[in-house]
Amino acid sequence: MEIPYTASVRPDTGVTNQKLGMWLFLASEVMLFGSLFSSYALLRSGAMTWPDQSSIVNVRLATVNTAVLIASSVAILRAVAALRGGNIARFRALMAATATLGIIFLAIKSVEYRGELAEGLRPSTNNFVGLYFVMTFLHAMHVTGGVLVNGFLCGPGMVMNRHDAPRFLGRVEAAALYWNFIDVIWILMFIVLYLL
Amino acid sequence: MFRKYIFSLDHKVIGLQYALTSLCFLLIGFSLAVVFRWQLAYPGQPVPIIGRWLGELNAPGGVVLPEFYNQLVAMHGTIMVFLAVVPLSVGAFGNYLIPLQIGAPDMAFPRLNMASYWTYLAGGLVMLVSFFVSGGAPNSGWTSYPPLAVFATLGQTFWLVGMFLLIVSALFGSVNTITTIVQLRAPGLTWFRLPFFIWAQLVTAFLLLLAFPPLQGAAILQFADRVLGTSFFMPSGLFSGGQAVNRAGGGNPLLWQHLFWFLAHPEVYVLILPAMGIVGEIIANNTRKPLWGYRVMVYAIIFLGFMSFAVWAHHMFLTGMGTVISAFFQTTTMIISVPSVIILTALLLSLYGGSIRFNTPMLFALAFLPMFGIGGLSGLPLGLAASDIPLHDTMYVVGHFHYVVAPGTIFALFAGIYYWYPKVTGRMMNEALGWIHFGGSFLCMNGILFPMLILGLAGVNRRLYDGGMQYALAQPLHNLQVGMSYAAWALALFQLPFIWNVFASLKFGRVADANPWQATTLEWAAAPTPPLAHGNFETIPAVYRPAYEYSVPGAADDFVPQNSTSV
Amino acid sequence: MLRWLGLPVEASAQATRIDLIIALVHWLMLAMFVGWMIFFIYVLVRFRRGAHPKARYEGASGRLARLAEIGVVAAEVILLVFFSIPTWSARVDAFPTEQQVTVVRVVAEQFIWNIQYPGPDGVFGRTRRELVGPDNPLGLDMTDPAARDDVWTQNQLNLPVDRPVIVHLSSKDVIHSFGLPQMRVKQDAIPGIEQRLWFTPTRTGEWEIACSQLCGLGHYRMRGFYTIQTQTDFNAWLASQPTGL
Ligand code: HEA
Ligand code: HEA
Ligand code: CUA
Ligand SMILES: [Cu+2]
Repeated sequence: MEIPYTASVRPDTGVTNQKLGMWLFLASEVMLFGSLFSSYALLRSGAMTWPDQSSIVNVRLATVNTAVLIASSVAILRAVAALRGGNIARFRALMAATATLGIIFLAIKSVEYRGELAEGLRPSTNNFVGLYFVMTFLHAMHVTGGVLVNGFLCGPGMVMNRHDAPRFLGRVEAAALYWNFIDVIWILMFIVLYLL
Repeated sequence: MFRKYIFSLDHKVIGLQYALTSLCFLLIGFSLAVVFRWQLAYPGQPVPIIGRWLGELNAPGGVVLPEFYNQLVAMHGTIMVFLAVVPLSVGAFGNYLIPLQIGAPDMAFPRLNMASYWTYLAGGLVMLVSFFVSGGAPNSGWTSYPPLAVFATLGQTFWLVGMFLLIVSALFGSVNTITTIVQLRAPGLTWFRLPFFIWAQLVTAFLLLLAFPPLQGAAILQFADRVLGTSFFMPSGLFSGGQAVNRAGGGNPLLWQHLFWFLAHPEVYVLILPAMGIVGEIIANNTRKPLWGYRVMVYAIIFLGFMSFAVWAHHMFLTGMGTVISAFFQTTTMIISVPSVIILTALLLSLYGGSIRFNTPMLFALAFLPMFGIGGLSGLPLGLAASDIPLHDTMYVVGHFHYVVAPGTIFALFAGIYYWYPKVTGRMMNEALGWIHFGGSFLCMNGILFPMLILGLAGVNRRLYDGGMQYALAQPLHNLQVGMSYAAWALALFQLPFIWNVFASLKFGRVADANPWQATTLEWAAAPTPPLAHGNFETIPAVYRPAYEYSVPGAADDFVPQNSTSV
Repeated sequence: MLRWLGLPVEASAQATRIDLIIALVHWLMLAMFVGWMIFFIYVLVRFRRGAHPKARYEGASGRLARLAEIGVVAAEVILLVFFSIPTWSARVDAFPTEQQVTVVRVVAEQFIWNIQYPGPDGVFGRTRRELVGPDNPLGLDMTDPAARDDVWTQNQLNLPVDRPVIVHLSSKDVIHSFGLPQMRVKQDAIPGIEQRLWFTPTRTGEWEIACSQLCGLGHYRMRGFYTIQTQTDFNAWLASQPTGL
């Protein structure tokens, strides 16, 4: 038997399964990143000395990266709009752009890591550098996951659009939700780890 | 074949996979206790019979070493909590019953469901493998407090990886559960017509969803401390074995405790809420009357869920807490005891005016009430910071939580197994063996657990390799330890009729009719017994009434199914 | 009640108060449990199928239960507001001044209790991390004049009776917990954090210090001794101890 409301809205709750599932997943992600941000706050407030963050990390590259991610967020939102409007080619191009921007983000991030490692910085250097590596790496893993999903959705995953368009749209919307969430997390990290 | 039984997407098969796996883990967890209870009763004497299989490194000549004792206790706690009870009550009972009770064809995300089981299994195997790595299994307690856990042997890294996987699995499971309950309720099944069991599972899923990720974050940080040499939990100026530790330092060991208990307190309600749900179902069915104060129970359980995020530091009163913070956490702890009292009172009042059938599931469900009562009440002196001072980290705490999880949750799970066995297999379990299992387990459980409270009040600490034999205040009570161990071994024997019953009834059990307990809820009233191989219902039922319409005045039978159109 | 609960002897001024709370809570627990149990057994017997073949659809009125619940809440509030919170506050806020009391330092390590007395000058000698070694577990710095009259022992804590004691507690390696069951004192010893705790022994005797937090394979034998003695005995004992390193 088919599972109801996968992609169609259940009238009395007003959501689809896909959307609700994604929101729930994001709620748990909030708790995950929230625990790391709180750890950061606790360690920093309890520390006798805390290094000058912006002199350690590469604020310039990170600023570029922030712009890249914001651009990709805009791209994925427009991709959703295009798909809703039935403009498949445009959707495909925008989704591919989103994935590519994600890859660019990861590339810049790895340049950044390489620079820091070359300077002799290690997670064990001090707790700021440790948190920096752990948090940004965890975020980068999330970006990697997002890139894979976005790549899939503008590649092989598009078959679904032909036989079950509403469900495909639901998937794309969920992916967009996720991608924007990752973007917001990055902006928070940028503020906390680079600027503060 | 593969698709059907191994990589199945069907919630019933996945539920059974969860059930079998978690029962095996329950048995393993119990076996560890059976072994370490020997050491508590007869410290330093070789374990009989199985002693020589424990390995020369762990137990030379069959005598358990202190390191190995710590491994056994830590793994007993970890396995029982994360690999046995949660997967059994949520993974198995939840998975199997939620779609059937709410009239859904399956869980909302079948693929995620399968992924959840396989990550659980992977996590469990990683935990078990740790027994065979150098230095053995994790030995820093199930709480894994750093710096001890950071200094610990390789097994602790496996614990962290295993925990990471288990949390991922719980995340998949809880997203699925919540979505299923919110979205796939049958037409007419409004919120206040849901069986209490569904409410319990829903609140539990929220706890899993929101409380587990912080432990995941903490596990990542502890992993970094162990593997990458960071100092998140390691303060400056640390020594280890008399040698100065060469680390950046600047970390805070209490950070771990906050993150851990932020998870682990909601976690203990994860252990109890599904059990309360099961008990609610069985009591309503076997008293043949509606649950007393159903709505109040629902509000209470939701409130319990919320509050459980605000009490975690009652595990940390003695880490150096000021008046204000301790007053806050004492108050929240007292507040959270109120909804438990309300739920238990409602269950108790439900008995009044009923027509009580004493079958095996009902016996276990009834025993749950006073046993959880003892466990819950013994939480009160721990929740008041002043009386927690002498009791903290004594056997009193161990007695407190075993009363809630063992004759509490485990009994409720037994009750659930006896109750839903005919649903799954189409055959009834043997009643006589059930009574033996119940009577023996009830006596033995109390024989193990009540002395714990006595020992704790006398000041005997927990996690002692020799059961406290070093200490003058513990020596006169040593015969209690011996008695508890015999009770534990007898408890093991009393599980044999149960295990036999589970397997033999598959073949020899009396064939059950479609609704053997004359129940009102959909899994009995609308779905075939045993279930269909594909899908759950011939047609999705429509629901017309609350969950427990038993003994409705004027009705022909003493039960009116939820999907019945006429009284 | 107290005798019946089998608590260890009560030998400090703080213990009385704590034991009172333990007794009161257990009275509450007992009352609730017995009350519920009587109802429970009555109901099981009265409404068994044999005696009551047809269940009633309407539930019990529950008035008594509501009263009982209100009673429980009231009892909890009283315990909290009038007993537990003030007791805790006395424990952590009402420290006596260090001049009038016995002051000791306790440094836990796997699986030893290191104890340091300031000596006649009342000042703890400086300790330095680099100096820590097998013969100098505290890292006492003998170039500091205040260190020369210090007394340190392992696993033996002596204290005078009827005089408040302040303990400066810390740990070198992992988390331990400094438990004195007869004093109703327990406090985690956490590396990196120095905590203070205080109590007033009221009875002489010889008992054991129990490590109460899992600290490794020797946790079970991390046992020390403590002796509460009269002021004269204590002074004599302290004078007989070697000073410095
Ligand atoms: C299922 C698990 C479970 C549940 C439900 C509870 C419930 C409660 N727990 Fe417990 N707790 C644990 C599992 C659980 N706990 C575990 C595992 C630990 C130890 C972890 C470790 O350190 O390893 C622990 C430790 C623990 C501590 C820390 C102790 C210490 O380390 O010093 C505290 C302190 O406040 C506490 C308090 C409470 C309270 C106030 C409740 C309340 O919610 C209880 C409320 C219930 C009642 C008040 C009972 C009411 C019912 C009746 C009265 C009905 C009677 C009926 C009949 C007689 C028929 N618990
Ligand atoms: C859910 C949690 C849970 C459960 C159910 C139990 C159940 C039991 N526990 Fe345990 N325990 C813990 C969680 C749990 N425990 C934790 C968290 C700790 C603290 C660890 C630490 O200090 O770090 C602890 C510690 C602990 C100690 C203290 C050790 C110490 O401090 O030194 C002791 C001592 O006796 C003990 C004993 C027992 C016993 C005898 C049982 C019995 O009640 C067991 C009952 C089990 C059964 C009856 C099994 C039935 C199963 C079957 C029959 C399988 C059937 C299979 C098929 C059909 C396939 N446990
Ligand atoms: Cu030191 Cu336990
Ligand atoms: Cu708790």
